[in-house]
Amino acid sequence: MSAFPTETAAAQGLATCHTCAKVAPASLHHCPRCGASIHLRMTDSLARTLALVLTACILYVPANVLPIMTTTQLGTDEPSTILGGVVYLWHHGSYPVAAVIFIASVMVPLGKMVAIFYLCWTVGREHRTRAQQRTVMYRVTEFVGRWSMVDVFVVAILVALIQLGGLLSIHPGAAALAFSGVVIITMLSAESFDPRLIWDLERDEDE
Amino acid sequence: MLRGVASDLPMTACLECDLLLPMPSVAEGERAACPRCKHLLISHPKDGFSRIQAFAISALVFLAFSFAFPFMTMKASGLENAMTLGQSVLELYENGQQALAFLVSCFIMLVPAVILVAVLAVSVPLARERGAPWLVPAARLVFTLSPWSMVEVFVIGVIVSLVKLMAMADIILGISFWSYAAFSVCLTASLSSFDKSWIWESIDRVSAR
Amino acid sequence: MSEPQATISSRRRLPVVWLVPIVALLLGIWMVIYTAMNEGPEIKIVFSTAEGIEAGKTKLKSLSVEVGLVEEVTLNDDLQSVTVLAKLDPKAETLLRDDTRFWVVRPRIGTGGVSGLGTLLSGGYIEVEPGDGKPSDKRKFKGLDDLPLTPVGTPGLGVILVSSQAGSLGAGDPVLYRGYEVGQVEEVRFDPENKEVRYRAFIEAPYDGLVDQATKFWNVSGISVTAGAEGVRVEVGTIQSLLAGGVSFDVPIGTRRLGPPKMDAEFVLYDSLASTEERTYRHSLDVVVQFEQSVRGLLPGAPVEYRGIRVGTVRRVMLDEIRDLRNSGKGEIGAPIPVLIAIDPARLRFPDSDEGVTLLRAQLENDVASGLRASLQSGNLITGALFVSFDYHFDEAPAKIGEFAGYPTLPTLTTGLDQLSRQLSRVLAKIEALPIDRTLSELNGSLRALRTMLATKDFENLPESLNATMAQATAALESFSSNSPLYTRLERAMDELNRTLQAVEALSDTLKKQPNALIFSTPPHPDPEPGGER
Repeated sequence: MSAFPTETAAAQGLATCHTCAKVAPASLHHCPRCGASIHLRMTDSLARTLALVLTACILYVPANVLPIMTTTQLGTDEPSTILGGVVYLWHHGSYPVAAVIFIASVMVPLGKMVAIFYLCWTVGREHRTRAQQRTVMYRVTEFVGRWSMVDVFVVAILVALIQLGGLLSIHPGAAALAFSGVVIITMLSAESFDPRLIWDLERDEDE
Repeated sequence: MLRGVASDLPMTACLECDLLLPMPSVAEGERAACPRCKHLLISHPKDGFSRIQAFAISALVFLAFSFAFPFMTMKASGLENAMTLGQSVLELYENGQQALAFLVSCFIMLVPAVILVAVLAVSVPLARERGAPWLVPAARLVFTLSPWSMVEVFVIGVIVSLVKLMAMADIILGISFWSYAAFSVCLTASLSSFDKSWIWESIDRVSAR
Repeated sequence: MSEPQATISSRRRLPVVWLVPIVALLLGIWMVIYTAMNEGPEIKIVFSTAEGIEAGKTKLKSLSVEVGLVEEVTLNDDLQSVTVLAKLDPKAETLLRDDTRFWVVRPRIGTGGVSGLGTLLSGGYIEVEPGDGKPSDKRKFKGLDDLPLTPVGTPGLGVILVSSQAGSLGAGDPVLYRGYEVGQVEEVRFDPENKEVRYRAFIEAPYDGLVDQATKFWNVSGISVTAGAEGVRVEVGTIQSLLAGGVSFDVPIGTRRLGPPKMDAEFVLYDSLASTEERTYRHSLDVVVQFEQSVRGLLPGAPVEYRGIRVGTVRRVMLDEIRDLRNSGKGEIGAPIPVLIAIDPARLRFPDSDEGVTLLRAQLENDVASGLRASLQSGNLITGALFVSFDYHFDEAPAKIGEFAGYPTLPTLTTGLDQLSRQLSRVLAKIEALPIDRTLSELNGSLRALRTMLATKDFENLPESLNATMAQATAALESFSSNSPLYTRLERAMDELNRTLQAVEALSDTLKKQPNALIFSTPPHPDPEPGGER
């Protein structure tokens, strides 16, 4: 018996090319239509995903500890971190903006990392009924990934816009790059996660 | 082409749940989804190629124009500063964040531009039902790069900055911003019609000739 | 029956969606054209430094209204200057004239005050000041490095002051008229070719009407102290000029006005008020005066006076001529020392011309015959400076104008301290000659006799002794009577003393007229001429 559920293409030794959705025998290793490498399931999907997520977690520390931007006002430098910015905005009454930043820069990356961890963890362990939801979770995670870059773009815009000489100017901090790294790596880790795995291993329960 | 047992239609497997099923044929304006996970399998947009091309060209035009004019201007207590789109990258570069500047420029300018060119490179021959040597690599490029275009994120970022600064300064959104917003809309419109399965199917069709 | 068949046209209909790119293109092109049409003129300004100027940021303003933006800053080929490429608003095109001025506004601290502080926060900007002319096509300008202290177009008069000294005068220093500030010095430039310093000063309207072609400008920087034969003179301008420097001007009293000067007319900058009052005489009569006494302390430039009034200047002591004479064998030993002096006819109200010189010479002939003599007087007892003084001495032996080395010579008189000391020594000699010793010894003797007389017991002999003594005393006193030769000698001595005292009186007179003649010597530079009609 194959490890894969019967209705899947994998069960028949067929792999779907991710780039062009062509179904072809996995033994070809390269999609006959578009040339991309194909596999029944992404190679070491779980391992790669986990590794990337861990890297993202590590990067998440400097992304929040280091200042994401420094405000220079009349000669005094005031660095601010992502969380610091959120707190500042909240204190100054900009609740919606604070919420947006908080969601986009704190909750989303954390959520993504948690979701990916969860997805990796539950592969093969959860009930089929949850498969649909997990797939949705995966779709959401994938979709939402790039939106965390909002904060970095905001920094880029503020740095370019607020240049008032000696009175007020803003300079980017190291956390911006670290945070971009987090976003990119979580995106890569979501990409390296093969969602078909969600549907695969639950077969065991049926049988 | 792989033929299914039950039909003569080519097979496809759902990318998300790997369900093997015959490729549905969709007419113009129709779309098909996986029965199990609801993942979109294929869609055939109305006036597909025209839409793709029209929006891609518009997007490129708007992108080009969005460099030429001021993007955003800030006025506070008599002091004023205007920025252009390019400056959002340049200022990062000049502040020592060269890597970040490169990343940002990729996400908001380079990657979308390359995608659009590739889209055109694919859709123009396909619209004429002709093949071209670059069809496959260009199509691959489009699908590989798609997740890395963050144009709408940038637009939201501008809005967030606007709201952030509204309290302490007068912010004026310049022509460049509206041009970039239009670029974003056209890019999305173009790509939404650029359905993966349908495009590859079409490539297959013209290449087979 | 056949149904009508619809004709199927396979003509491809262009989807509506193609409107989108068309609209996009049109919009974009329209924007570009609109911006290009509304673009103002592009100008190039050359500065010596781009400090404070940033491409894309620095604005151009005129009277605090934004009129343009700096686009580009490039270093010139000569590596000594920068070219600023700026784009102006279309409305600002009229600001561009041939004499439009550009300068960078930065925070500045000058003697005129602090300016441009706003730029500390907002960053510098380039001020555009349109000139007076009509709007022109000029698009290349040379920017000023320092802001002009007077904006172009301010009504007033600019003058150039020329001086051989830079002194304490600088840009921003005030121009004063009778103590009131009416303008300021704009710039200082040193001309190495002519070795002179040129100041450009600007006098604002309506004060520019005070300037005449005959106006004299002088430096009132700091305190000017002149100590001369007239006394000590202190000149101070305003407090600002005291600390910073300043120029004052006025038309000298009695000078006829010549009319308003042209813009940027040149004037000499005098070192002090005193220098302005000097008149330069172009004609003078050179005469020689020969002195038998020491000319030590007589310097070239020392004044020649007549009873305290300046009539000329000592040119020099003619040592060369003496040496020549000696070498040629014609010199006498112990000959008087010739001194060349110049007498200005203009100072004596003769015309300042050759004719005046001739008239003066003729006048001198008469004067000498009447007893005019030259003598050396002490200008300063401390330094021993001397000057030549003319005066009439009626009891001198008559003399005539002589000749020496081609110059007419005027007779001289030995006076002054020399004469005083000679007289004193004569008096002393006479006093010495007095038989005081003998008189004293005689008195002594009488006293001794008196004592011995009193000491003896022969008091009865007292009246006799007294008589005898009296007779002796009488005899002694007789020697002092008016008939005795002793008395006459004393008389004569007293006479001499009297005359000496008279000479001293003359000296004290001089001292009364010039109380500081004892302390300050006469100044080497010319004296002020009392004002009045020529």
